[in-house]
Amino acid sequence: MQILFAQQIIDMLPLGILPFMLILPLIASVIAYAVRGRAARILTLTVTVTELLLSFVLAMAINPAIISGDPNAGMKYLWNFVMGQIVSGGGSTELQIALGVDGISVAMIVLSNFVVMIATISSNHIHKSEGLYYALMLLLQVGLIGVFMSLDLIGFFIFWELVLIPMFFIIGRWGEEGCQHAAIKFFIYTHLGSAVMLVAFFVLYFVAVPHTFDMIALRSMGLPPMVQLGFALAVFMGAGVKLPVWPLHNWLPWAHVKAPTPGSVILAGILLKMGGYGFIRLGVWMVPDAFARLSIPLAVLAVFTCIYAAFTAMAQTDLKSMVAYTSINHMAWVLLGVAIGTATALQGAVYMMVSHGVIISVMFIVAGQLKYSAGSREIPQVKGLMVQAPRLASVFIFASFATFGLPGLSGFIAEALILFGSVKVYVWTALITLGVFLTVGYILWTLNRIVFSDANPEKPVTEAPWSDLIAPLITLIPVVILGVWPDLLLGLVSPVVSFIVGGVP
Amino acid sequence: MQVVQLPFMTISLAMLFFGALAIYLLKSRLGAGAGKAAAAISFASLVLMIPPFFRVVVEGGPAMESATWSQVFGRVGLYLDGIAFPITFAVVVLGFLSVVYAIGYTREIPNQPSFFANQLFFIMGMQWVTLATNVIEFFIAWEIMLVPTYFLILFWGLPETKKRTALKFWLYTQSGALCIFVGFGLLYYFVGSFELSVIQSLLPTYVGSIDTLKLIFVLLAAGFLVKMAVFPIHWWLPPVHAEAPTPISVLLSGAMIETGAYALVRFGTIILGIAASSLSVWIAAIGVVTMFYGGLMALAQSDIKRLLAYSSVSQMGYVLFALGTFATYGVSGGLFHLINHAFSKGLLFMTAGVVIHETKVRDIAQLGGLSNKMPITAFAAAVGALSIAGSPPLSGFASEWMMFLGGFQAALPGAGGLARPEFFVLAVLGVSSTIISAGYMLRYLWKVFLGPTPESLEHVREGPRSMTVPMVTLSCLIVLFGIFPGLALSVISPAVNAIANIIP
Repeated sequence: MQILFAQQIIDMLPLGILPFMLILPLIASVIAYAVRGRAARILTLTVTVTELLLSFVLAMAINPAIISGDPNAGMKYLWNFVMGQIVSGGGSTELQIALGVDGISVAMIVLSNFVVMIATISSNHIHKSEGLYYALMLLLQVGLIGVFMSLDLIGFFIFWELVLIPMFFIIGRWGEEGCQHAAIKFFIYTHLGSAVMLVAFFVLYFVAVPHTFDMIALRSMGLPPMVQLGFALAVFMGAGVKLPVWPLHNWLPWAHVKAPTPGSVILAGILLKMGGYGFIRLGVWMVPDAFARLSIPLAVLAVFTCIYAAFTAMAQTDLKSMVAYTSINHMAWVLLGVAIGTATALQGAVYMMVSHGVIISVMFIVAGQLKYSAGSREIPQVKGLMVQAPRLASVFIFASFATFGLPGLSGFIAEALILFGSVKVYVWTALITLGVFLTVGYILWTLNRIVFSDANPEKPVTEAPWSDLIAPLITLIPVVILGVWPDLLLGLVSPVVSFIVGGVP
Repeated sequence: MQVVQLPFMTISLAMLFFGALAIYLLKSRLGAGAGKAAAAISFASLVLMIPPFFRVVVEGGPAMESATWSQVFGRVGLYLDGIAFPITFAVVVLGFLSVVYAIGYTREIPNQPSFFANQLFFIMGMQWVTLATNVIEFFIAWEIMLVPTYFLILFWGLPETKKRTALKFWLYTQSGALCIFVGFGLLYYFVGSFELSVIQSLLPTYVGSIDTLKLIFVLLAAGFLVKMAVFPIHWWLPPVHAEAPTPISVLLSGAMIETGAYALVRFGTIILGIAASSLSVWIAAIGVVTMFYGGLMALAQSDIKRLLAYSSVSQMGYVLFALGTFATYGVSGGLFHLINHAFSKGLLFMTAGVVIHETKVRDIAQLGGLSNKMPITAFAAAVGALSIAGSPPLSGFASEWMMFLGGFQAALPGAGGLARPEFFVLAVLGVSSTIISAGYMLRYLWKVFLGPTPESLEHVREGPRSMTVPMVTLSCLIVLFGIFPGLALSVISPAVNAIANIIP
């Protein structure tokens, strides 16, 4: 979709659209810290809405088609900033931040800006040190969209790590009881994953001839197969923690449950997608051969993670905890799509990331709301939601249906694409449908217990005010739109995917 | 060189010396105005250093001033090049800011003029060490750093233990200095000159056994490593840095220990390059051990300044590792880290000083929630701590990153596969120790500035202007160097590349 008008808006922005989008929240973050209080909230809302509009403009303006033999590998709006030059031996290396986007990045940028906006709207219960909170929120946004824009391993790592710090404080400062433990766990897991990835970046740098951190150059260089394989395994560690994949997932339930609601929304809504994006950008996009070799083990792991997480989710009594395991369950689909690596499966993986990002945000907001409305999130404790709080119950039911992939809503399309892509390659991946079956089971069971049960007069539930329902209602819009109009997203994604599948040009 | 060239560096040093002397002599007249006078003197010496910095950074050549001292000892002088630039810059800037900071800090202490006089002497010593061109001159300056610090700790340190601490400081560093002295003696015996430039040009013609050079290297390194407080000769550092008055801790941790690293580059990597490269694995290994040791000890501390002191031990481990790689990225990163560590750790000690000054509490278990009470200090502490933790876009990230890159460069020279697996292992260990750094820094931020505010701290307010202004300045510098590391790297990196035999 190239709309001339959108392109004209982009041309008007100083610096170019990508750096502009990064710098705006960065500056706003400092201002938010300075002004504090209600003004900080208003500022943050304004900035996040502006960012969302800008990313829509970007999505409308970009031409996702990739000409074969394009030296930039289909990246548009390139911009780079040299932070410093290190002279070494004959040549010199640039310490730089290089930005550029293709269809997949644009989709992820729209998603992040959307989720950050939703998280900001749903922060209306945060009253402790508001200035610092919103400053961290905006800083988080810089890191998130920076990851999706970076085309240089250094820049990528800078933004990847930049996400960690504000998230650590948001979980630890504004979370529930026990949040400090969760924050530290989150930090250690993700930081260790990143450290492994950093080592791989360094090794790749020295193996590449000439030495470079430029992702496009590294991609088209044709690295030795063993190096590719080692790099892919390191990416698995770095991105796999974020995604998360089964043995590396232990931080996630803690962090999600203990974080404040907006924190959980961002964690589940975008932070996990950084993992998926890492797999796609650093994995199948940059070292496709290695990922083709790892296909079977990754697919096995994905199927196992999906089923394992479904069973674990079923056993949870805390609604937030259950939703957290649902995330692991769904992100396993992304891994499956990446492992299969065919055009259909990869499109499905991106679709899953976007759709899960919005759906799970609603689920977390509802789970957080239950705490205010019913005084507890324990599934056995809350009863009769439908009778006592019909508005909240409707949102909850709708989001639950979307979570298990009801046809007509966005989750279905994603699951269908991945499954159709994968059974063609490995028939046994059809086992993952057991995960879907279980998901439907535990979600309906939860609904039965919370929503469709008889009210307990000793524990009344109050209706959620409209001000708390704005955020989930807005979030449900894309769920429906993406469910009925898949080409809206696939139009952006499919040229890139066919470029990836077509191999190195 | 220009036609009319004032000896700016000499005047700058003289300014500090005579300024300090004047403050000391006029102490009864100056009284409470001593701090302002000291700040003015220090600022003047900073301004005087601008022309030499300009020469190095913009014109790209070294700044040099020299005179003949005696027939025996040869020429003495001051020499500023790309290797000396980072540490000199750090000393000059941090020195001035610490004096400004001390104005607020010393409000309630006795005998202010003597304090400031000693502080100026101390700054002069450090500035001189980094610029010295003659071995004897270097040694004199090296010892001059010691004297004012001793008095500063002895008179204004933590009352309970100050005598012991001051003695410990003197004895430890003195033992190191003696090793250096013997090393210099041997160097003179083989080369026959005290002048660094002569030694540097003559030593490659030396035809004796390499073991002799190694011996000299080990002797010198022993002295420098005591100053850097590298495991297992670090014991003096935590008590000294923790118990010295805070403006002095700022200088000790931020600048003085780094002169050891600078000297190791100047004498080890450059002059004794052959010996340094053959012992490089050991240097890097000690660095890695120190990183872990300092980091783990910092995690266990409850005294706010002791935590930071152990963090300095750990950070010097990073620098030592970087110098041990003997590779361009590593050494450039290590030298660049001197600036970043000086600013970040100086900043952190300043924040700790404000906290202690305002709350009279040193135990982090009794602190908490101060970000509401002192937002500027909290913000500065966050910048400093995250820079030490190596978080982008602060300056610590750029240098830490380069140091580890250097480790891999040493492991994979050229494209010939894994030539030296031991460096690979060390570099991987080094990268993994960053998590400890992040851990203790976040713990510091957490325990002091976040969390619930104890009732006893309800009355706490932000520190005085003279303490917050230097902190804000340093925060800005840290961000500036984080976004534009090229400012310093454009000077450091060519100089490092010119070192003989370094892995390119």
